[in-house]
Amino acid sequence: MRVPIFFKIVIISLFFSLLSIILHTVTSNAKPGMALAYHIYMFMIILGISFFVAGSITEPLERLKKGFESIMGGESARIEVKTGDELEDLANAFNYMVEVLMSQKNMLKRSEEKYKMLVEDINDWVFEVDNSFVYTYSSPKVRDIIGYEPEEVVGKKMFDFMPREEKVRAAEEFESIRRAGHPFCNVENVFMRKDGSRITLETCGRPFFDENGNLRGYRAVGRDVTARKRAEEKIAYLASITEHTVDAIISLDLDSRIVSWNKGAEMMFGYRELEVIGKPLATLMPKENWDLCRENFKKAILEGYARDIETVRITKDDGRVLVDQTLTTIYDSNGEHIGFVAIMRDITQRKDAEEKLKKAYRQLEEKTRELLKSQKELRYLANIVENSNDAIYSVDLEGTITSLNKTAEKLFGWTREEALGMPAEVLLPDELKSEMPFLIQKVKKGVRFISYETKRLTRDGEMIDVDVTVSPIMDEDGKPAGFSVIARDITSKVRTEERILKRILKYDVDRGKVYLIEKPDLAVDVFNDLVKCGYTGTVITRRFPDELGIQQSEHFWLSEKKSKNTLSPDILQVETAVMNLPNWNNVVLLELDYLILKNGFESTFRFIQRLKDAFYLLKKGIILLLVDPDIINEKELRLLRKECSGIRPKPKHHDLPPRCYELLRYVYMQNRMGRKISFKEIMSHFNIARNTAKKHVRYLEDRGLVKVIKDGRLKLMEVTEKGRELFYVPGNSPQSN
Amino acid sequence: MNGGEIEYGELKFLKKVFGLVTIITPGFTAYVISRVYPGLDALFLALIFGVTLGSFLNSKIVRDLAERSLAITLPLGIVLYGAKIKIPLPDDFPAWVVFLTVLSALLLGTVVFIFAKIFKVSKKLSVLLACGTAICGVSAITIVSPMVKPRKEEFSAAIIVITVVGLTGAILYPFLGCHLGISPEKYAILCGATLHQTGLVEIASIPFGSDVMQNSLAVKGIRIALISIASLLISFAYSENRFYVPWYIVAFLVVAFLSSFILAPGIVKFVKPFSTLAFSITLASIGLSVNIRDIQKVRLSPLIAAYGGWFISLILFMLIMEWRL
Repeated sequence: MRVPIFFKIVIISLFFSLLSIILHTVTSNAKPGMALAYHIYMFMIILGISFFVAGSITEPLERLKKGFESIMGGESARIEVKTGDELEDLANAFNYMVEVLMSQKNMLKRSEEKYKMLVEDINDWVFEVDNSFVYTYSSPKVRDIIGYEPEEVVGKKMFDFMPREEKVRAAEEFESIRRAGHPFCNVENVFMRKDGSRITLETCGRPFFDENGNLRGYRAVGRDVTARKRAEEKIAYLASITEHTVDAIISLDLDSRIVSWNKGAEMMFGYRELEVIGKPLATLMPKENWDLCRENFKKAILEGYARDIETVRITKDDGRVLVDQTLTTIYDSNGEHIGFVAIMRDITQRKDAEEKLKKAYRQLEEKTRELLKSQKELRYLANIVENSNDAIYSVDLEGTITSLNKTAEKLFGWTREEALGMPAEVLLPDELKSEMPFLIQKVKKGVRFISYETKRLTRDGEMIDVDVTVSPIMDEDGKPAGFSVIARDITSKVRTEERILKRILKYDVDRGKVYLIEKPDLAVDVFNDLVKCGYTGTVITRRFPDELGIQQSEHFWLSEKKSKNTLSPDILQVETAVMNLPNWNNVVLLELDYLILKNGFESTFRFIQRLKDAFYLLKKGIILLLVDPDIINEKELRLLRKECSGIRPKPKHHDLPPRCYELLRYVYMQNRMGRKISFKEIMSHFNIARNTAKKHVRYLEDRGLVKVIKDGRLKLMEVTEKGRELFYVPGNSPQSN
Repeated sequence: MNGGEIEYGELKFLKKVFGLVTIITPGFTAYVISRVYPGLDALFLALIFGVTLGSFLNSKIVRDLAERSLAITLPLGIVLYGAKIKIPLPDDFPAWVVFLTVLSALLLGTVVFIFAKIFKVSKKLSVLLACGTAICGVSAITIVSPMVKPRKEEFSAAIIVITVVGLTGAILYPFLGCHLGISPEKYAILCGATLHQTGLVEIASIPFGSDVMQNSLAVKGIRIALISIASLLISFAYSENRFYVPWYIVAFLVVAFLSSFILAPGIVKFVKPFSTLAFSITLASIGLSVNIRDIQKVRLSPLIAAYGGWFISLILFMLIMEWRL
């Protein structure tokens, strides 16, 4: 039943009025004490009824208030008020309003969901930033684009997701956008993904404002254009390659007319792009190649490409270039044939280079042939070396044997495998161990040839005499890399020679020794005797040979002045002169007085020591040092005596008069050299008269030591076998040698 | 235990003492006022004082203590209320008086309950209103409330509504008695059989002389005795088990039996005030623990139902009484 509030109030008022009348009636008849009680009752009745009346009004209003609060809180609310008055209408109106609101809300929600779905399903990243570019909304697509969850992004600045170098640039760019307050589009920024990789986002956005027109932020869409950027960069890169390659890359339309023309083509043909665009490719060809060109186009259409190797093209200045051309068909995205690409490489220089290469190759072949010939010769020589009767081996500058031939193997007893890499010193007796460093030093100094007699040690420990020839081996730079040693076994010969010479000589001297002689006459006598016995004499002195009585010798005069056969009294020069004496049968008479005077005793003494060592090692001959004991003190004399050997006369082994013995010895020595001596020569040599000569010869002839042979008018003398026996070394007959 | 905790303990104890005083004071005050003015029901006053004081203090401790005290004062009040019941013997009243009284109680309860249903009052509140109207007003509501288990605001609303309707009756009945020409005998029956509280019966019947008042109270005694039956029925109706009757109802019935037939009148007279005092404290406790705004939420329907049911029942009863007598 519908009772408006007005009527309710009227009814209640009527009720209270009626009750008041009743109260008045009752109290007017009641006892005085009771009237108060009735009035109190009335008051309580009014109070109680008013209490509930107020509740009946306030309670629905309160529910309405709560309903509104629910609505304000975004929740649905329905109020059931069955008061049958305006409050019920109000509640119904409220419920209707709620229904409408909920309906609109649902519509809005559906719409929002639709747009949200749209925003979330779109491939781009939709976001909202405030005017400080702090993200206030982010679509879930952010997860795919930069790898962060939307809630990780919201609350952070846009620039927080950019690399350091991009931050500054982007901040300036967006600051200018913010100042302008206009929409922006196609703004490209590099973002850093959560995994650290970089992507490029293209952003478009629109500003939004508050009710006062102040900029509140931007709503924007970010698109990942990394792939596009890479593709653009790749296209630009390829275009750059095409543009800057030295090959001519020419694209043609279906009529074979030039559509594009790169810089390589410009450089190759001399035409600028504008000059050739639209012209047929045949412009670049000699007429004789046109048919071939047509064939190539047909082939390219049928097979996709056509190659034209080493073909001729014409340049702008009518020059000719040789090119390798590849003609390829090109298609559009629908697979339609839209033209051709001709790639031409200038091979003119390459062809020239090929020709040069061919020529060089021919020269190389010729050189190879020569080399082979040389190798053959070398092998031949190596064969000679290998099969030589002399022992040949090579030593490097470290003193290691690097090669040796068969004869060397046989002579020294070491096999090739054992000897290679072995120190060459092994072949030297202990007393000659210093020979190897001496030779290495000489080779390093550039000595080209050293020949001497020396001794070698075989594997069995046997000492053998060898005639050694040392020659340096040069490397490809011409520097000494070692030396070769040709050693000939002369043990028997040397021993025989020495014995014979010792037999023949008047004094007991040995080759390779240094003798100190204090008397000039004795020195001259020894010297002359050695010269007579075949030694090559060299005199180094301040005196004249005649003054000394020296015969048949080379004379060096010690003098500061430089002239023929003069020698500076410098120790080194004297040493060099002595050491460079050829052969090994040298007898050197060296007068020390002037050298000591000039160089002092110490230097001269050391020089003597060096000479002694060298002659001992190389067996180059005999050195006779002449010194005047008066010019040095006793101590120095003792030192010299100690360092040098002394001359001893040899014991007599015959009973012949000295003159006769000398004559026999002379004839014998000449006979050894294959000469027969005439009387005249004897007379001349000994400076005696014919009769004296005849008398001596007859004496020898009578004893059966010499026989005279007539050769035409000449009478020649020859030592008999009996005469030779005087000079034979016991146990060593000439036959046995 | 440090000084701070001791002080806090002392403070808590003082608050509890204050809470107890707050609970007891309005009940006791209401009881004293009702003793001075029998027309002002002690239970109603205690409730009003409790609600007013609770709204004013808004103390959690007081509210907690009030709720706890209900577990003691309510059963105690119910049990002691048995002393107020005088079970009538067949010789005490003519049969038709008893019949009319029982009929009136049934009529009042039924019509109010129907009205409450019509006006969509909650079932529990309807039962409370029906009991309160049919038997002995606020006391009946208080006795059956532990079985019905209404919400506090329903309970408070029932108390207020029944009191307001009863007060209306207290003013209306003398007017009707004077202007309708009702005989004193009928008036005594009318007051005893249809007015809510005993105090109101006394007030409404005083203008018609002491005999009428005594007769009215005697009839009212029959209605009060019906609380024994009503409480049994309601405990059966609301019991979770089939034949369950709460102990305090059993005790209440025992006390009612004892005071009616066995105990000396002096003892009974001594015990009676304690029942009212316990109920006053109970109502004050309920008033302290309930929010006045929540009471208002029951709106006008219970009041209309109580007024309408009572008024219709009154008319019907008067017609029946006129027809029978």
